Amino acid sequence: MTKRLGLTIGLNEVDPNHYRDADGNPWRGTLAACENDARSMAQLFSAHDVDLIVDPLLTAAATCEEVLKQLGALAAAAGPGDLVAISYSGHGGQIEDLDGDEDDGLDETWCLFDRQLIDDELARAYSKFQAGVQIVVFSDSCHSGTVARADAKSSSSLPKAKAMADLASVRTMLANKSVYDAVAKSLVDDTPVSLAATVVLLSGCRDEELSRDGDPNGAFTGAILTAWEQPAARKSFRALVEAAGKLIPPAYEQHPTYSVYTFGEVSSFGS
Amino acid sequence: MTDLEEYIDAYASTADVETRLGILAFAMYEHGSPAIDAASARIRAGGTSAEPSEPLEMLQQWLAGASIGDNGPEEAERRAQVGLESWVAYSAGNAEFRAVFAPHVAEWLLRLPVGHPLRDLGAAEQMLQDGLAAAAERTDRLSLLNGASMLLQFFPPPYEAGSELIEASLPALEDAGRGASRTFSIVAAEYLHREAWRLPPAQGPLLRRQGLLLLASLLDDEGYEPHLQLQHITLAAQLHFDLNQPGPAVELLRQGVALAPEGSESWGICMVEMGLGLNDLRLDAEAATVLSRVLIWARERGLGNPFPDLEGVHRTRELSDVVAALAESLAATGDVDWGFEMLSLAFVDDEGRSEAVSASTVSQGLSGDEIALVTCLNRDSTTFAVHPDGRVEALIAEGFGATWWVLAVGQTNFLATFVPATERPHELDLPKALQALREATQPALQIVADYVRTASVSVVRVVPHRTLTMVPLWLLEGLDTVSVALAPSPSSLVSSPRPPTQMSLLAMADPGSDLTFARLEVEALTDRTKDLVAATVLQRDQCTPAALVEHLPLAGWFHFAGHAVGDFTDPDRACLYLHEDGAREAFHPTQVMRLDCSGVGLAVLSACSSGVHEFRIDQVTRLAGIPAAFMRSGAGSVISTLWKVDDAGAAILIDALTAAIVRAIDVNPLVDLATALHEAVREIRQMTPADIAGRFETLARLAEDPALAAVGRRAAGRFGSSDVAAPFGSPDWYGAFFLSGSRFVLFT
Repeated sequence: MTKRLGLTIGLNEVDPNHYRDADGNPWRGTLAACENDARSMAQLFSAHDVDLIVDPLLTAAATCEEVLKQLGALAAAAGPGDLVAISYSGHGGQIEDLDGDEDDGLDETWCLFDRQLIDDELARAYSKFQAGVQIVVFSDSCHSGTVARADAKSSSSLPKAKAMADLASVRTMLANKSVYDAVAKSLVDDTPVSLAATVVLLSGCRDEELSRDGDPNGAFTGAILTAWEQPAARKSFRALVEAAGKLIPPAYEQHPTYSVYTFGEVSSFGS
Repeated sequence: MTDLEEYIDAYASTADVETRLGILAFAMYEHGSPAIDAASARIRAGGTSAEPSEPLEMLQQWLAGASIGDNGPEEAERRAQVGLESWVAYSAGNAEFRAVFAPHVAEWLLRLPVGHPLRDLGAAEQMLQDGLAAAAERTDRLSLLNGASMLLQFFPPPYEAGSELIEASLPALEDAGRGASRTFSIVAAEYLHREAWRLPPAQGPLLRRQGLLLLASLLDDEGYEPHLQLQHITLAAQLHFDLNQPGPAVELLRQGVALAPEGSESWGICMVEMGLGLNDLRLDAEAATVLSRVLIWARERGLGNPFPDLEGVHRTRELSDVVAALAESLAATGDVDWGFEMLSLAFVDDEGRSEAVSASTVSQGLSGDEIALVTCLNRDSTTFAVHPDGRVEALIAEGFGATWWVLAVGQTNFLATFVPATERPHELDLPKALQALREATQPALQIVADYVRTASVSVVRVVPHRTLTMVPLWLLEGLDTVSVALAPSPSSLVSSPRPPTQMSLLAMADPGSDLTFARLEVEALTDRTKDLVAATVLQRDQCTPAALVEHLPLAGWFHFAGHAVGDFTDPDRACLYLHEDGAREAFHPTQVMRLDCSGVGLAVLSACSSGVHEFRIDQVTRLAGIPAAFMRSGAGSVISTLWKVDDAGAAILIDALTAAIVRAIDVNPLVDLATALHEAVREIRQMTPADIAGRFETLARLAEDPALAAVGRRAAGRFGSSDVAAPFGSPDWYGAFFLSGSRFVLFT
């Protein structure tokens, strides 16, 4: 009998002892809806027979160690034909490529509470899943976005973006160099990984865009929840993403994406 | 406008009370309170069928007393208070009085200066509503229309409510066909002309035609008073123009010209409208004759710009309407030199002044490698091409003046499809939008583009007319291979050479503390120019208005890298964002105009939409906004943007521009800014991902802050890994920046 397993993560803040803003000051990265997103997605999963491996990991509970531990538990529990649903809502960022595998020299990250979780680490976590497992990842986050020299008022009237600004993420990395050097070393020391499972990634926005916060849910998560009510949208994850995209206000300039990663050697992919 | 004396004669000789009051109301409508004075004086002098006890005596006393004149402000205010109380008391019990005079009393209230103790918008609106109700109750058609008209004029309702009000007054208009007075018919037709736009598009023309029918019924009426006849003619002509029927309009206006005393205001109105109608009909020779005569008449009467006294036909005519049509007709008949000189009057400064200048004078201000293109948008798109040797030629694309108007009227669509001021630049499929615009306007532009190619010039000085101020002409095919510099008017092309510009740089970077690449841009700018200029650099919270005021007078080169906003509809809302007390501080064009930019040879505004010009369809071509403000305050040249620019992309373009300027200075202190900008644009358009990455690496190396340097290297990585062969090859990346003002700057 196929199983459905799930994990939801949502952070309304990050640890200011670790993170820095653009000026190098402690940064909490406060958001309004990420914990709600984790709870809402947990309810959605549960309503569709997805067993949550643990209660939603919220803010301070969503450390790198805990998230990787739960991903490991999911990998151990899931077998061929099973579905694993994961949702993440919080800041994202970019960091200088730690293991030299990125064309653009940058790794994408999830801003977990105690530090940034590098996409390479996630790739390794996903590589532990068996062949035949389908992993669906809902990522209500973003990693970077272009900045225009435009009307301050119009941009400040939008919900907060869920990306660490470049300068902030640089300051964070420089302030915690030893931490990320250790992560880099662990990645380099590891043998290259191969993805056996299928990963379907539903992202809140395109690479160059920003995902927006919201109330009570983030823009992407809120749109997913609303789109799920439409029978046509439930026919496939691609249809779901397309339906959700139509529900996000045009002023947000946010277009959710759908990607699939299957088999073969993979070093990393978008978080 | 009918002479007051004619009204008073009509008033005095009419026995019917309703008609008499109606005439008086009409006289007040046109002439204001002097009508009451005149009617009252006629009553006192005798020889009228009106009774002395008529309420107009009360009004006369009130209005006369309420004007300051010899009374002084306090006494005037007291009398006005008494008069208003009298009105309220009397009208409460007299529906006729209320119906007829409510619009006029309300208008008096509304025209009181802001702050006057009696000015009460709510009371005025209530007065009008009460008057309308009384008029409806008494079936007083004239008062109903007057009241409705006033209400719609001063208290514009939502669209639907306006339609309801007009439809409620339609029964009154239907009565007009059944032997109503001429006065009423004219008022009704005027009302239809003025208010028809409030109705859904399908109904507007029907209402206008109804107005024409009303007026046509008067044509064969014997004993038709001349002053009413002229009014009929001009109004009927307006309705024909509204219905896009210039032929009948012109024929009516010929009658008007013949009827009106030559040189009178009525004659002037008819001549203006007739001339414009002839232009519409492409009867260009006659149009040119008539409109030339109009200009002479206007000059003799000392009419300025606009022509305020021609407001009687409810379409305020401005000098630009007349000279644009005249220039167009002259060009069409081959009199290109005179047409150019007339067109030069269509360009005014902020104070409404325009300066006529001949093509030969303009040509003397041109360098040997450039031509000037002065555009005229009317029924056609006519471009006057002026050469350094004095030749001027007219390039006429028939019928395409309307294309630009359509684009401007559908401004939302125009902006959305062409100027991504509200869109992220690289989200908008600008090449497609540009292609659509090209296809729509290709005939108009092809003629110009072909001309520019055959002219073999390297620089084109463009003076855009009307909506063309909004269009990035430098991007259009045929013009994108030459340097394009905008100028605000033909006369500005012959301005006196500026004194040499000091080699001192004032750079403001990132007042909002959120634009990393703005800071990198300024670091690169100061590095590239360190051997040439003395630099003052203000960063982040140093970028205050006070700092700008203090340092700018000492600068020859001003560079701003930060946030800005432009506004096509209201230039006063445009601003650069500086810093004050921990927050963003908007710095508007009115504040820029108070700066001392007399020493600024070059101002570069590296910010979103910093160069958006203002244009209003019903007004003259007038450059407003931030660049015009800098030039008004003395700056020679301004490089700014027409739409949103990406922080990182702008830094690369500015770096290329700086390099081009520095190269030019090395050769000759007289720097050709148009060519420098064009070189920079050409360079970044062709940049490969590796080229861009290298440029960002350079910016990173120049950064003092290692974190800034790291961000620069990140950009190098992002752009360097792009799959696009030329990442900046799309117009939204390279096309926003343009030059206005002087083409050259002479650095000492």
